[in-house]
Amino acid sequence: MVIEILVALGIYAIALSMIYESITVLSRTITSISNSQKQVENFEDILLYINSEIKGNDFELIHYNQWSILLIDTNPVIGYQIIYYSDGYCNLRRIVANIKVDIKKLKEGRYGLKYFNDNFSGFNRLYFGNDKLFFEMEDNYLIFKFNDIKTYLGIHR
Amino acid sequence: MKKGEILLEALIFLILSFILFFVVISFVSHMMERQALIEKGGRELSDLTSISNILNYNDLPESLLKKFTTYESSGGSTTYEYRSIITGESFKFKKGNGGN
Repeated sequence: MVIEILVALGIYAIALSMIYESITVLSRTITSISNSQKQVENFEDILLYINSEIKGNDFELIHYNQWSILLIDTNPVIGYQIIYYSDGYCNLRRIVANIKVDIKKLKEGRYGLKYFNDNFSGFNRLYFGNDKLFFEMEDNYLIFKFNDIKTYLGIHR
Repeated sequence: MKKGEILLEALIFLILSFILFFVVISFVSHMMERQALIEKGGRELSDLTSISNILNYNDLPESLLKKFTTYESSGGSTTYEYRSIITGESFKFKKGNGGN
């Protein structure tokens, strides 16, 4: 009888560890799926938003140390500013010029952050998180990078 | 209590937890596959946006052309085909002699 109880306890222990394992696998999967879902949604939202405004318009890309700005030549000029924080976070916001701005001059003049804070407004935050966001030029192509996804937003002619 | 009843109960419990484990595993793998497809969809959106933004097929960069299936056709021109993983739809264009 004692042996029987001991064997039964062993079987129970195996069964319980299996249940525990199922629950951990399930919770881990749900976390990873919801993270990846959020990432895809963020990416698609940002991409479709920027794409709708840049399409067919001239643009300039200005890089600084801690931030870069993609200026789109509409009336008024619209910009997308990515600010990089030292802890790895990125902040993407959309800015709109209050004054008449010539984007070619802005590029040549290399105006600083104060200029954009004073003369641009509507700081809608499109993204804040630790995914890696970049605007880059590859030859004549303007590229938007979201982690390892590379999207060509336009071409300088 | 009859002899062997405790063992029988333990075995039933083991079998039930086995079933739970398999149900969870199949659910998880199903969700993973679905999520992989959603991620591919994100990448496909990126590709299609890129292609539509460049407008002129002659300007497409190499890294995008790699995503097309190519067919050599007569007269030195090449036909490129992009097939969607998600919807299965495809579009083609010709590049080379006399084609665009």
